[in-house]
Amino acid sequence: MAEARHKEGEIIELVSLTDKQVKSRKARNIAIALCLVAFVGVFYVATVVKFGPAIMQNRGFNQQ
Amino acid sequence: MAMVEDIVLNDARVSEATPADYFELLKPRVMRLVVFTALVGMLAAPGAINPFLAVFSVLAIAVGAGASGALNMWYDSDIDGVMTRTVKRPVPSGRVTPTEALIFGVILSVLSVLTLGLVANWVAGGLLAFTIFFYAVIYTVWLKRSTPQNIVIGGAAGAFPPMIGWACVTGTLTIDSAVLFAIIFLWTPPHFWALALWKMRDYDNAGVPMLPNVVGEKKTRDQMLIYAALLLPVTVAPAFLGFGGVTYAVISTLLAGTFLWLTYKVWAIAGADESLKAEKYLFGFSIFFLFAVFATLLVEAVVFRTFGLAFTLGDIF
Repeated sequence: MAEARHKEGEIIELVSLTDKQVKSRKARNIAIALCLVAFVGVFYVATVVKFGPAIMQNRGFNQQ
Repeated sequence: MAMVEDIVLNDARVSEATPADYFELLKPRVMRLVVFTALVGMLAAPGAINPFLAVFSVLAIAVGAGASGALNMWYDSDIDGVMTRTVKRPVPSGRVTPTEALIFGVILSVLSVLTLGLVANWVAGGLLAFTIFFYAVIYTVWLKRSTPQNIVIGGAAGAFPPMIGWACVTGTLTIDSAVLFAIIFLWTPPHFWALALWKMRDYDNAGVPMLPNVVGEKKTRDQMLIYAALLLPVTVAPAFLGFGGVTYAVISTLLAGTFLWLTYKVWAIAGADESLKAEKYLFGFSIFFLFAVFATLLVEAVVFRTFGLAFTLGDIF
């Protein structure tokens, strides 16, 4: 446990992470990021596939 | 103020869990079987599904199955810590807390069901939701610790994936997909009880009422034989229903016949051989049996689609 002094003079104890904890947290963060990117990718591709060519039939593009 | 600090410091627990620990919560070995059987259900079903949507659907089914595994590990961490087979799982070994496993399982359950519903259809999505509920609540929480028929009911959860795969393509539940369900459903009891016969002491220590511990080895062997006998006609049924060809008819008859013969040997020897060789052999063969039956259906479906009903570019785009 590391110690730090609050500005009012009160001592508060801080948790300092071990190397193993820092390393595993970083690995978890990377894994979550990759999963989120994959999740977005799945929905992007699924949307394009489900709409098919109709995805271009947006009123904004086709209004004469 | 001091009280608040105490609570914060006492509860401060920084996780050392790696992504691999979380992946282990998904029971990857069970997930492999789920992916495989769901894929077979998907390819054996009449009709076509876009290959991208097929891959995403199988992924969603796999994650859903994994989520129910995580929920199972959350609830069962107490008994997992007692059995040698499960003591090294992430929760009993302390790498992941039960609460973390619960949250992980719930989030993945919701995401997988929503994804499958949106990507494939809501019949498949609903069936996946029911499967997760069935495995996590009906089996794990309710029946596993209260009845020696736990494995029969739990086997139903493992039997749903080919039905879900089928529903992804057709959007319906049919007698054909129910037969795929029935194959895994009837296969599970003899498969698990063969294991239970030589791991009896483990289940006894954990207080899980497996059939051999409750009604005795003889009655367990009787029931295994009944299930293996019922499995034979059900395994061959796809050939008669038209979604399995002649090759399937021959191979499935041989496989289910061998399964019945090996179960008969377990029944006839009745534990006279203390090394339980017959039980161990049946357990090993049962894994091969399920893989081979579904692989045959898969090969037939792929050949049929390639030469009879091939995917066209129009299916993809």
